[in-house]
Amino acid sequence: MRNDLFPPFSTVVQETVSLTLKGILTEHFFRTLLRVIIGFSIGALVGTIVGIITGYKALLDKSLSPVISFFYPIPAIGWVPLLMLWVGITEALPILVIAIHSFFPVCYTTRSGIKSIDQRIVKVARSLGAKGKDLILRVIIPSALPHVFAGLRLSSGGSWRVVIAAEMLAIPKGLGALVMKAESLIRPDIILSCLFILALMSLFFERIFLFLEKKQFSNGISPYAH
Amino acid sequence: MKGILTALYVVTFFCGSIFAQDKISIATEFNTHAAAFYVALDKGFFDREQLKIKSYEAYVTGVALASSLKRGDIEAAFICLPPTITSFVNGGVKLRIISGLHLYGYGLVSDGDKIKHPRDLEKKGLKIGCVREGSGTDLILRKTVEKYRLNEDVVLSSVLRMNPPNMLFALKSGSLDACFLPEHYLSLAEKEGFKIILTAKDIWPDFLGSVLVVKNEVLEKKPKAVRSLNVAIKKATEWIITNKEDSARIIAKYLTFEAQRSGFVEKLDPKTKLSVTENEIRASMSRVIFTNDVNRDVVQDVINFMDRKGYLKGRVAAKDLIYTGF
Repeated sequence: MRNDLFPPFSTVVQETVSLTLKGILTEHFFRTLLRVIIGFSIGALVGTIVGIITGYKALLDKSLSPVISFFYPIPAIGWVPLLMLWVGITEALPILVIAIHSFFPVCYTTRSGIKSIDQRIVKVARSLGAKGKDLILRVIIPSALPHVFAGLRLSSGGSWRVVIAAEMLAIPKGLGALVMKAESLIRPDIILSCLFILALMSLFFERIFLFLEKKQFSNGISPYAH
Repeated sequence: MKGILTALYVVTFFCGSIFAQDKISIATEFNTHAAAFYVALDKGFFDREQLKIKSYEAYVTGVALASSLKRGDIEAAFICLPPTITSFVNGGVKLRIISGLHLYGYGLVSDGDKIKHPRDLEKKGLKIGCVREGSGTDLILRKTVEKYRLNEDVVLSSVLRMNPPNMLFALKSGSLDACFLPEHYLSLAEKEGFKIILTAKDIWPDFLGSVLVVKNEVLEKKPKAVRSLNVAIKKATEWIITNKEDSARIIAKYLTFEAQRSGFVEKLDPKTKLSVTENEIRASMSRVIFTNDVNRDVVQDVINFMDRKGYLKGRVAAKDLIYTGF
Protein backbone atom coordinates (compact mmCIF):
# COMPACT_ATOMS: atom_id res chain seq x y z
CA MET A 1 0.00 0.00 0.00
CA ARG A 2 1.23 3.49 -0.82
CA ASN A 3 2.01 5.58 2.25
CA ASP A 4 0.90 8.72 0.41
CA LEU A 5 -2.66 7.50 0.17
CA PHE A 6 -2.84 5.10 3.13
CA PRO A 7 -0.82 6.83 5.83
CA PRO A 8 0.13 4.80 8.91
CA PHE A 9 -1.48 5.72 12.22
CA SER A 10 1.81 7.23 13.45
CA THR A 11 1.76 9.73 10.55
CA VAL A 12 -1.83 10.68 11.35
CA VAL A 13 -0.93 11.29 15.01
CA GLN A 14 2.15 13.26 13.98
CA GLU A 15 0.06 15.43 11.63
CA THR A 16 -2.61 15.95 14.31
CA VAL A 17 0.06 17.19 16.75
CA SER A 18 1.67 19.37 14.08
CA LEU A 19 -1.66 20.96 13.04
CA THR A 20 -2.58 21.52 16.69
CA LEU A 21 0.73 23.21 17.46
CA LYS A 22 0.31 25.47 14.43
CA GLY A 23 -3.16 26.39 15.69
CA ILE A 24 -4.84 25.24 12.45
CA LEU A 25 -6.67 22.28 13.93
CA THR A 26 -7.75 24.17 17.05
CA GLU A 27 -9.24 27.02 15.02
CA HIS A 28 -11.26 24.66 12.82
CA PHE A 29 -12.18 22.46 15.78
CA PHE A 30 -13.58 25.29 17.91
CA ARG A 31 -15.66 26.58 15.00
CA THR A 32 -17.20 23.13 14.63
CA LEU A 33 -17.63 22.70 18.39
CA LEU A 34 -19.47 26.01 18.65
CA ARG A 35 -21.79 25.08 15.77
CA VAL A 36 -22.51 21.68 17.34
CA ILE A 37 -23.25 23.21 20.76
CA ILE A 38 -25.57 25.89 19.35
CA GLY A 39 -27.28 23.62 16.81
CA PHE A 40 -27.70 20.77 19.24
CA SER A 41 -29.02 23.06 21.99
CA ILE A 42 -31.63 24.55 19.66
CA GLY A 43 -32.68 21.14 18.29
CA ALA A 44 -32.74 19.48 21.71
CA LEU A 45 -34.68 22.33 23.34
CA VAL A 46 -37.32 22.51 20.63
CA GLY A 47 -37.44 18.70 20.44
CA THR A 48 -38.00 18.41 24.18
CA ILE A 49 -40.74 21.06 24.20
CA VAL A 50 -42.58 19.55 21.22
CA GLY A 51 -42.08 16.06 22.71
CA ILE A 52 -43.63 17.17 26.02
CA ILE A 53 -46.55 18.90 24.29
CA THR A 54 -47.33 15.96 22.01
CA GLY A 55 -46.84 13.45 24.82
CA TYR A 56 -49.04 15.31 27.27
CA LYS A 57 -51.82 16.73 25.11
CA ALA A 58 -53.65 14.09 23.12
CA LEU A 59 -55.20 16.59 20.72
CA LEU A 60 -51.86 18.19 19.84
CA ASP A 61 -50.35 14.73 19.51
CA LYS A 62 -52.97 13.78 16.96
CA SER A 63 -52.37 16.90 14.90
CA LEU A 64 -48.57 17.17 15.17
CA SER A 65 -47.41 13.55 15.24
CA PRO A 66 -48.34 12.74 11.62
CA VAL A 67 -46.40 15.82 10.45
CA ILE A 68 -43.36 14.90 12.58
CA SER A 69 -43.53 11.27 11.41
CA PHE A 70 -43.70 12.48 7.82
CA PHE A 71 -40.57 14.63 8.08
CA TYR A 72 -38.58 12.31 10.40
CA PRO A 73 -37.25 9.96 7.66
CA ILE A 74 -35.72 12.88 5.72
CA PRO A 75 -32.01 12.94 6.55
CA ALA A 76 -30.84 16.28 7.95
CA ILE A 77 -28.41 16.62 5.05
CA GLY A 78 -31.37 16.37 2.67
CA TRP A 79 -32.47 19.82 3.88
CA VAL A 80 -29.17 21.42 2.87
CA PRO A 81 -30.09 22.50 -0.70
CA LEU A 82 -33.24 24.14 0.59
CA LEU A 83 -31.44 25.78 3.52
CA MET A 84 -28.80 27.10 1.12
CA LEU A 85 -31.57 28.98 -0.67
CA TRP A 86 -33.33 30.07 2.49
CA VAL A 87 -30.40 31.17 4.67
CA GLY A 88 -27.52 31.13 2.16
CA ILE A 89 -24.06 29.76 2.84
CA THR A 90 -23.77 31.30 6.27
CA GLU A 91 -23.09 30.18 9.84
CA ALA A 92 -26.81 29.48 10.14
CA LEU A 93 -26.60 26.66 7.59
CA PRO A 94 -24.62 24.04 9.57
CA ILE A 95 -26.32 25.14 12.81
CA LEU A 96 -29.77 24.55 11.34
CA VAL A 97 -28.73 21.19 9.89
CA ILE A 98 -27.56 20.09 13.35
CA ALA A 99 -30.72 21.48 14.96
CA ILE A 100 -32.92 19.54 12.52
CA HIS A 101 -30.88 16.40 13.10
CA SER A 102 -31.15 16.77 16.90
CA PHE A 103 -34.83 17.69 16.98
CA PHE A 104 -36.38 14.42 15.85
CA PRO A 105 -34.75 11.84 18.17
CA VAL A 106 -35.23 14.09 21.22
CA CYS A 107 -38.83 14.84 20.27
CA TYR A 108 -39.67 11.17 19.68
CA THR A 109 -38.04 9.82 22.83
CA THR A 110 -39.51 12.59 25.02
CA ARG A 111 -42.97 11.96 23.60
CA SER A 112 -42.71 8.19 24.08
CA GLY A 113 -41.24 8.74 27.57
CA ILE A 114 -44.24 10.82 28.62
CA LYS A 115 -46.68 8.40 27.04
CA SER A 116 -45.10 5.49 28.92
CA ILE A 117 -45.57 7.05 32.36
CA ASP A 118 -47.68 4.91 34.64
CA GLN A 119 -51.02 6.77 34.66
CA ARG A 120 -51.62 5.67 38.28
CA ILE A 121 -48.71 7.93 39.32
CA VAL A 122 -50.29 10.86 37.49
CA LYS A 123 -53.63 10.10 39.13
CA VAL A 124 -52.03 9.91 42.59
CA ALA A 125 -50.24 13.23 41.98
CA ARG A 126 -53.50 14.82 40.84
CA SER A 127 -55.36 13.45 43.87
CA LEU A 128 -52.65 15.05 46.02
CA GLY A 129 -53.37 18.41 44.38
CA ALA A 130 -50.73 18.58 41.64
CA LYS A 131 -51.93 20.20 38.45
CA GLY A 132 -50.78 22.24 35.44
CA LYS A 133 -47.16 23.39 35.58
CA ASP A 134 -46.48 21.57 38.85
CA LEU A 135 -47.70 18.28 37.44
CA ILE A 136 -45.53 18.65 34.32
CA LEU A 137 -42.35 19.87 36.02
CA ARG A 138 -42.47 17.74 39.16
CA VAL A 139 -44.04 14.51 37.98
CA ILE A 140 -44.24 14.10 34.24
CA ILE A 141 -40.83 15.40 33.10
CA PRO A 142 -38.83 13.61 35.84
CA SER A 143 -40.69 10.42 34.96
CA ALA A 144 -39.82 10.79 31.29
CA LEU A 145 -36.18 11.72 31.91
CA PRO A 146 -34.61 8.34 31.03
CA HIS A 147 -36.23 8.56 27.60
CA VAL A 148 -35.26 12.22 27.20
CA PHE A 149 -31.65 11.37 28.05
CA ALA A 150 -31.66 8.51 25.55
CA GLY A 151 -32.74 10.96 22.84
CA LEU A 152 -30.18 13.56 23.90
CA ARG A 153 -27.43 10.95 23.93
CA LEU A 154 -28.31 9.74 20.46
CA SER A 155 -28.62 13.16 18.88
CA SER A 156 -25.56 14.68 20.60
CA GLY A 157 -23.27 12.09 19.05
CA GLY A 158 -25.14 12.30 15.77
CA SER A 159 -24.63 16.08 15.62
CA TRP A 160 -20.94 15.48 14.99
CA ARG A 161 -21.81 13.10 12.20
CA VAL A 162 -23.90 15.67 10.32
CA VAL A 163 -21.81 18.77 11.02
CA ILE A 164 -18.94 17.50 8.88
CA ALA A 165 -21.23 17.05 5.89
CA ALA A 166 -22.77 20.50 6.36
CA GLU A 167 -19.36 22.14 6.67
CA MET A 168 -18.15 20.47 3.49
CA LEU A 169 -20.48 22.73 1.53
CA ALA A 170 -18.42 25.84 0.94
CA ILE A 171 -18.23 26.79 4.64
CA PRO A 172 -14.77 28.36 5.08
CA LYS A 173 -13.91 27.14 8.59
CA GLY A 174 -14.61 23.98 10.54
CA LEU A 175 -13.46 20.36 10.56
CA GLY A 176 -15.60 19.58 7.48
CA ALA A 177 -13.98 22.47 5.62
CA LEU A 178 -10.56 21.22 6.69
CA VAL A 179 -11.44 17.75 5.37
CA MET A 180 -12.36 19.27 2.01
CA LYS A 181 -9.18 21.32 1.94
CA ALA A 182 -7.13 18.21 2.74
CA GLU A 183 -8.94 16.29 0.01
CA SER A 184 -8.13 18.95 -2.59
CA LEU A 185 -4.49 18.97 -1.48
CA ILE A 186 -4.38 15.14 -1.50
CA ARG A 187 -3.61 14.86 2.24
CA PRO A 188 -5.28 11.69 3.55
CA ASP A 189 -3.32 12.04 6.81
CA ILE A 190 -5.16 15.30 7.59
CA ILE A 191 -8.51 13.80 6.53
CA LEU A 192 -7.98 10.85 8.89
CA SER A 193 -6.88 13.21 11.63
CA CYS A 194 -10.15 15.17 11.33
CA LEU A 195 -12.22 11.98 11.18
CA PHE A 196 -10.61 10.62 14.34
CA ILE A 197 -11.37 13.89 16.14
CA LEU A 198 -14.98 13.72 14.97
CA ALA A 199 -15.30 10.13 16.17
CA LEU A 200 -13.78 11.04 19.54
CA MET A 201 -16.05 14.07 19.95
CA SER A 202 -19.12 12.06 19.00
CA LEU A 203 -18.21 9.48 21.64
CA PHE A 204 -17.35 12.18 24.18
CA PHE A 205 -20.71 13.93 23.77
CA GLU A 206 -22.58 10.63 24.15
CA ARG A 207 -20.57 9.85 27.27
CA ILE A 208 -21.36 13.24 28.77
CA PHE A 209 -25.07 12.52 28.58
CA LEU A 210 -24.57 8.98 29.86
CA PHE A 211 -22.65 10.43 32.80
CA LEU A 212 -25.32 13.07 33.46
CA GLU A 213 -28.01 10.42 33.22
CA LYS A 214 -26.26 8.17 35.72
CA LYS A 215 -25.57 11.09 38.04
CA GLN A 216 -29.19 12.22 37.86
CA PHE A 217 -30.58 8.84 38.80
CA SER A 218 -27.92 7.99 41.36
CA ASN A 219 -29.09 11.08 43.30
CA GLY A 220 -32.20 9.19 44.28
CA ILE A 221 -34.57 10.69 41.74
CA SER A 222 -36.73 7.85 40.64
CA PRO A 223 -37.69 7.88 37.01
CA TYR A 224 -41.12 6.35 37.79
CA ALA A 225 -41.44 5.30 34.19
CA HIS A 226 -41.74 1.70 33.04
CA MET B 1 -4.05 -23.26 -49.93
CA LYS B 2 -2.53 -23.55 -46.48
CA GLY B 3 0.56 -21.71 -47.76
CA ILE B 4 -1.54 -18.85 -49.17
CA LEU B 5 -3.39 -18.46 -45.88
CA THR B 6 -0.13 -18.43 -43.93
CA ALA B 7 1.31 -15.83 -46.30
CA LEU B 8 -1.82 -13.69 -45.95
CA TYR B 9 -1.61 -13.93 -42.14
CA VAL B 10 2.05 -12.93 -42.13
CA VAL B 11 1.40 -9.95 -44.46
CA THR B 12 -1.60 -8.82 -42.40
CA PHE B 13 0.39 -9.13 -39.16
CA PHE B 14 3.31 -7.06 -40.45
CA CYS B 15 1.09 -4.44 -42.09
CA GLY B 16 -0.87 -4.19 -38.84
CA SER B 17 2.31 -3.69 -36.87
CA ILE B 18 3.65 -1.06 -39.24
CA PHE B 19 0.44 0.99 -39.35
CA ALA B 20 -0.67 0.31 -35.76
CA GLN B 21 -1.52 3.52 -33.95
CA ASP B 22 -0.26 4.25 -30.47
CA LYS B 23 -3.09 4.69 -28.00
CA ILE B 24 -3.27 6.98 -25.02
CA SER B 25 -6.01 7.95 -22.58
CA ILE B 26 -6.36 11.62 -21.71
CA ALA B 27 -8.03 13.73 -19.05
CA THR B 28 -8.72 17.45 -19.40
CA GLU B 29 -10.43 20.31 -17.62
CA PHE B 30 -13.34 21.64 -19.58
CA ASN B 31 -12.25 25.21 -20.07
CA THR B 32 -10.04 27.15 -22.45
CA HIS B 33 -6.96 25.87 -20.61
CA ALA B 34 -7.31 22.67 -22.64
CA ALA B 35 -7.63 24.61 -25.91
CA ALA B 36 -4.66 22.85 -27.54
CA PHE B 37 -6.25 19.47 -26.92
CA TYR B 38 -9.57 20.45 -28.50
CA VAL B 39 -7.84 21.99 -31.51
CA ALA B 40 -5.54 18.97 -31.96
CA LEU B 41 -8.56 16.70 -31.82
CA ASP B 42 -10.58 18.78 -34.27
CA LYS B 43 -7.79 19.46 -36.76
CA GLY B 44 -6.61 15.86 -36.78
CA PHE B 45 -3.14 16.57 -35.35
CA PHE B 46 -3.27 13.40 -33.27
CA ASP B 47 -4.18 11.29 -36.31
CA ARG B 48 -1.35 12.84 -38.32
CA GLU B 49 1.07 11.72 -35.61
CA GLN B 50 -0.41 8.19 -35.68
CA LEU B 51 -1.72 8.71 -32.17
CA LYS B 52 -5.11 7.39 -31.19
CA ILE B 53 -6.89 8.95 -28.22
CA LYS B 54 -8.22 5.85 -26.49
CA SER B 55 -10.52 7.84 -24.22
CA TYR B 56 -10.83 11.29 -22.76
CA GLU B 57 -12.60 12.62 -19.73
CA ALA B 58 -13.29 16.26 -18.93
CA TYR B 59 -13.22 17.49 -15.33
CA VAL B 60 -14.81 20.67 -14.01
CA THR B 61 -11.70 21.72 -12.02
CA GLY B 62 -8.01 20.88 -11.95
CA VAL B 63 -8.36 19.85 -8.31
CA ALA B 64 -10.93 17.20 -9.25
CA LEU B 65 -8.66 16.05 -12.05
CA ALA B 66 -5.64 15.90 -9.70
CA SER B 67 -7.52 13.53 -7.39
CA SER B 68 -8.27 11.31 -10.39
CA LEU B 69 -4.67 11.28 -11.65
CA LYS B 70 -3.95 8.50 -9.19
CA ARG B 71 -6.20 6.25 -11.25
CA GLY B 72 -4.36 3.90 -13.54
CA ASP B 73 -6.51 4.55 -16.61
CA ILE B 74 -5.48 8.20 -16.99
CA GLU B 75 -2.15 8.29 -18.79
CA ALA B 76 -1.84 11.97 -19.67
CA ALA B 77 -3.60 15.12 -18.55
CA PHE B 78 -4.10 18.73 -19.56
CA ILE B 79 -4.16 20.27 -16.11
CA CYS B 80 -3.39 23.47 -14.20
CA LEU B 81 0.12 23.66 -12.79
CA PRO B 82 -0.75 23.91 -9.04
CA PRO B 83 -2.85 20.68 -8.90
CA THR B 84 -0.06 18.97 -10.85
CA ILE B 85 2.39 19.94 -8.10
CA THR B 86 -0.06 18.74 -5.42
CA SER B 87 -0.42 15.38 -7.18
CA PHE B 88 3.34 15.02 -7.50
CA VAL B 89 4.33 16.13 -4.00
CA ASN B 90 1.38 15.18 -1.77
CA GLY B 91 -0.23 12.40 -3.79
CA GLY B 92 3.05 10.75 -4.76
CA VAL B 93 1.86 10.44 -8.37
CA LYS B 94 4.86 9.76 -10.55
CA LEU B 95 4.46 12.12 -13.48
CA ARG B 96 6.35 14.65 -15.60
CA ILE B 97 5.41 17.88 -17.30
CA ILE B 98 6.15 17.36 -20.98
CA SER B 99 4.82 20.68 -22.25
CA GLY B 100 3.40 23.99 -21.18
CA LEU B 101 -0.03 24.99 -22.51
CA HIS B 102 -0.58 28.62 -21.63
CA LEU B 103 0.32 31.46 -19.29
CA TYR B 104 -2.28 33.09 -17.00
CA GLY B 105 -5.98 32.22 -17.42
CA TYR B 106 -7.49 33.36 -14.10
CA GLY B 107 -9.05 36.51 -12.73
CA LEU B 108 -11.33 38.24 -10.27
CA VAL B 109 -14.84 39.42 -11.20
CA SER B 110 -17.37 41.38 -9.20
CA ASP B 111 -20.68 43.12 -9.64
CA GLY B 112 -18.78 46.39 -9.31
CA ASP B 113 -20.70 47.58 -6.26
CA LYS B 114 -18.87 46.33 -3.21
CA ILE B 115 -15.58 45.50 -4.89
CA LYS B 116 -14.07 48.00 -7.29
CA HIS B 117 -10.42 47.35 -6.46
CA PRO B 118 -8.57 44.30 -5.09
CA ARG B 119 -8.09 46.21 -1.81
CA ASP B 120 -11.86 46.06 -1.30
CA LEU B 121 -11.54 42.30 -0.75
CA GLU B 122 -10.61 43.18 2.83
CA LYS B 123 -14.04 44.64 3.57
CA LYS B 124 -15.94 42.75 6.20
CA GLY B 125 -19.12 40.84 5.42
CA LEU B 126 -18.19 40.04 1.83
CA LYS B 127 -18.78 36.72 0.14
CA ILE B 128 -16.00 35.81 -2.26
CA GLY B 129 -16.12 32.66 -4.33
CA CYS B 130 -13.06 30.65 -5.21
CA VAL B 131 -12.18 27.13 -6.33
CA ARG B 132 -10.81 24.88 -3.61
CA GLU B 133 -7.39 25.15 -2.00
CA GLY B 134 -4.49 24.25 -4.23
CA SER B 135 -6.21 25.17 -7.48
CA GLY B 136 -4.76 27.74 -9.88
CA THR B 137 -7.63 30.05 -9.00
CA ASP B 138 -6.87 29.72 -5.30
CA LEU B 139 -3.23 30.57 -5.87
CA ILE B 140 -4.21 33.76 -7.68
CA LEU B 141 -6.42 34.64 -4.69
CA ARG B 142 -3.55 34.03 -2.26
CA LYS B 143 -1.13 35.97 -4.48
CA THR B 144 -3.60 38.89 -4.64
CA VAL B 145 -3.74 38.93 -0.83
CA GLU B 146 0.06 38.94 -0.71
CA LYS B 147 0.57 41.56 -3.43
CA TYR B 148 -1.92 44.06 -2.01
CA ARG B 149 -0.83 43.22 1.57
CA LEU B 150 -4.37 42.40 2.59
CA ASN B 151 -5.30 40.86 5.92
CA GLU B 152 -5.21 37.17 5.04
CA ASP B 153 -7.49 36.08 7.90
CA VAL B 154 -10.16 38.62 6.97
CA VAL B 155 -10.09 37.80 3.25
CA LEU B 156 -9.95 34.02 3.69
CA SER B 157 -12.82 34.05 6.18
CA SER B 158 -14.97 35.61 3.42
CA VAL B 159 -14.09 32.92 0.88
CA LEU B 160 -16.65 30.28 -0.05
CA ARG B 161 -15.27 27.30 -1.95
CA MET B 162 -17.17 26.05 -4.96
CA ASN B 163 -16.59 25.06 -8.56
CA PRO B 164 -16.71 27.65 -11.38
CA PRO B 165 -20.20 26.87 -12.76
CA ASN B 166 -21.66 27.09 -9.23
CA MET B 167 -19.80 30.37 -8.67
CA LEU B 168 -21.38 31.86 -11.78
CA PHE B 169 -24.79 30.74 -10.55
CA ALA B 170 -24.13 32.22 -7.08
CA LEU B 171 -22.79 35.46 -8.56
CA LYS B 172 -25.86 35.83 -10.76
CA SER B 173 -28.24 35.14 -7.87
CA GLY B 174 -26.44 37.68 -5.66
CA SER B 175 -25.14 35.05 -3.21
CA LEU B 176 -21.56 36.13 -3.97
CA ASP B 177 -20.11 39.62 -4.17
CA ALA B 178 -17.10 38.58 -6.22
CA CYS B 179 -15.28 35.48 -7.33
CA PHE B 180 -11.96 34.27 -8.60
CA LEU B 181 -12.56 32.28 -11.77
CA PRO B 182 -10.56 30.44 -14.39
CA GLU B 183 -11.06 31.20 -18.07
CA HIS B 184 -13.52 30.82 -19.86
CA TYR B 185 -15.83 31.35 -16.89
CA LEU B 186 -14.29 34.80 -16.52
CA SER B 187 -15.61 35.65 -19.98
CA LEU B 188 -19.01 34.14 -19.20
CA ALA B 189 -19.22 36.34 -16.08
CA GLU B 190 -18.18 39.37 -18.14
CA LYS B 191 -20.92 38.56 -20.65
CA GLU B 192 -23.41 38.50 -17.79
CA GLY B 193 -22.42 42.08 -16.96
CA PHE B 194 -19.85 41.51 -14.22
CA LYS B 195 -16.63 43.49 -14.12
CA ILE B 196 -13.16 41.99 -14.33
CA ILE B 197 -11.19 43.53 -11.44
CA LEU B 198 -7.88 41.82 -12.10
CA THR B 199 -6.33 38.99 -14.09
CA ALA B 200 -3.45 36.65 -13.29
CA LYS B 201 -1.23 38.70 -15.60
CA ASP B 202 -1.64 41.74 -13.32
CA ILE B 203 -0.34 40.04 -10.22
CA TRP B 204 1.87 37.12 -11.25
CA PRO B 205 4.11 37.76 -14.30
CA ASP B 206 4.78 34.67 -16.43
CA PHE B 207 2.45 32.52 -14.32
CA LEU B 208 2.29 29.16 -16.08
CA GLY B 209 -1.42 28.37 -16.08
CA SER B 210 -1.67 24.83 -17.40
CA VAL B 211 0.61 22.03 -18.48
CA LEU B 212 0.52 18.70 -20.24
CA VAL B 213 1.60 15.91 -17.90
CA VAL B 214 2.30 12.25 -18.56
CA LYS B 215 2.75 9.49 -16.03
CA ASN B 216 6.29 8.12 -15.71
CA GLU B 217 5.20 4.59 -16.57
CA VAL B 218 3.68 5.87 -19.81
CA LEU B 219 6.93 7.69 -20.61
CA GLU B 220 8.76 4.37 -20.14
CA LYS B 221 6.28 2.05 -21.84
CA LYS B 222 5.01 4.28 -24.67
CA PRO B 223 7.78 6.75 -25.51
CA LYS B 224 6.63 6.95 -29.13
CA ALA B 225 3.06 7.83 -28.11
CA VAL B 226 4.30 10.50 -25.71
CA ARG B 227 6.52 11.99 -28.41
CA SER B 228 3.57 12.01 -30.83
CA LEU B 229 1.37 13.63 -28.20
CA ASN B 230 3.98 16.32 -27.62
CA VAL B 231 4.35 17.02 -31.34
CA ALA B 232 0.57 17.15 -31.87
CA ILE B 233 0.14 19.62 -29.01
CA LYS B 234 2.97 21.82 -30.25
CA LYS B 235 1.35 21.91 -33.70
CA ALA B 236 -2.03 22.68 -32.15
CA THR B 237 -0.57 25.51 -30.07
CA GLU B 238 1.10 27.02 -33.14
CA TRP B 239 -2.18 26.71 -35.02
CA ILE B 240 -4.07 28.47 -32.19
CA ILE B 241 -1.57 31.35 -32.24
CA THR B 242 -1.91 31.84 -36.00
CA ASN B 243 -5.64 31.02 -36.34
CA LYS B 244 -7.29 32.70 -33.37
CA GLU B 245 -10.72 33.11 -34.98
CA ASP B 246 -10.99 29.49 -36.09
CA SER B 247 -9.57 28.30 -32.79
CA ALA B 248 -12.25 30.23 -30.90
CA ARG B 249 -14.92 28.55 -33.01
CA ILE B 250 -13.48 25.07 -32.41
CA ILE B 251 -13.01 25.58 -28.66
CA ALA B 252 -16.53 27.03 -28.31
CA LYS B 253 -17.94 23.96 -30.04
CA TYR B 254 -16.18 21.53 -27.69
CA LEU B 255 -16.83 23.52 -24.52
CA THR B 256 -20.53 23.88 -25.29
CA PHE B 257 -20.72 20.15 -25.80
CA GLU B 258 -18.86 19.43 -22.55
CA ALA B 259 -20.86 21.96 -20.57
CA GLN B 260 -24.18 20.60 -21.80
CA ARG B 261 -23.05 17.05 -21.15
CA SER B 262 -22.13 17.98 -17.58
CA GLY B 263 -25.56 19.44 -16.88
CA PHE B 264 -24.07 22.49 -15.19
CA VAL B 265 -25.24 25.09 -17.66
CA GLU B 266 -28.94 24.37 -17.50
CA LYS B 267 -29.23 25.84 -14.04
CA LEU B 268 -27.32 28.96 -15.07
CA ASP B 269 -29.68 29.96 -17.78
CA PRO B 270 -32.45 27.54 -18.73
CA LYS B 271 -33.47 29.56 -21.80
CA THR B 272 -30.19 29.80 -23.62
CA LYS B 273 -28.38 26.96 -21.83
CA LEU B 274 -25.53 29.48 -21.77
CA SER B 275 -23.81 27.86 -24.67
CA VAL B 276 -20.26 29.11 -24.98
CA THR B 277 -19.97 31.30 -28.04
CA GLU B 278 -16.95 32.26 -30.11
CA ASN B 279 -17.13 35.78 -28.66
CA GLU B 280 -16.57 34.59 -25.08
CA ILE B 281 -13.79 32.27 -26.17
CA ARG B 282 -12.14 35.05 -28.17
CA ALA B 283 -12.27 37.33 -25.11
CA SER B 284 -10.99 34.50 -22.96
CA MET B 285 -8.12 33.73 -25.37
CA SER B 286 -7.09 37.39 -25.38
CA ARG B 287 -6.21 37.14 -21.69
CA VAL B 288 -4.18 33.96 -22.15
CA ILE B 289 -0.79 33.49 -23.81
CA PHE B 290 -0.57 30.13 -25.54
CA THR B 291 2.91 28.68 -25.28
CA ASN B 292 4.57 25.29 -24.90
CA ASP B 293 7.53 26.67 -22.97
CA VAL B 294 8.03 25.47 -19.43
CA ASN B 295 10.08 27.97 -17.49
CA ARG B 296 11.79 26.09 -14.68
CA ASP B 297 12.11 29.22 -12.52
CA VAL B 298 8.39 29.93 -12.82
CA VAL B 299 7.53 26.34 -11.85
CA GLN B 300 9.91 26.59 -8.88
CA ASP B 301 8.32 29.89 -7.90
CA VAL B 302 4.88 28.25 -7.84
CA ILE B 303 6.24 25.29 -5.83
CA ASN B 304 7.84 27.66 -3.30
CA PHE B 305 4.67 29.73 -3.03
CA MET B 306 2.52 26.64 -2.43
CA ASP B 307 4.97 25.39 0.16
CA ARG B 308 4.94 28.77 1.91
CA LYS B 309 1.16 28.66 2.06
CA GLY B 310 1.29 25.23 3.72
CA TYR B 311 -0.14 23.37 0.74
CA LEU B 312 2.74 20.94 0.24
CA LYS B 313 4.21 18.20 2.38
CA GLY B 314 7.64 19.38 1.36
CA ARG B 315 9.49 21.48 -1.17
CA VAL B 316 10.69 19.77 -4.36
CA ALA B 317 12.93 20.91 -7.18
CA ALA B 318 11.15 21.94 -10.38
CA LYS B 319 13.69 19.94 -12.41
CA ASP B 320 12.30 16.71 -10.90
CA LEU B 321 8.91 17.55 -12.32
CA ILE B 322 9.86 18.70 -15.82
CA TYR B 323 10.67 16.19 -18.56
CA THR B 324 13.50 17.23 -20.82
CA GLY B 325 14.02 14.01 -22.77
CA PHE B 326 12.67 15.15 -26.15
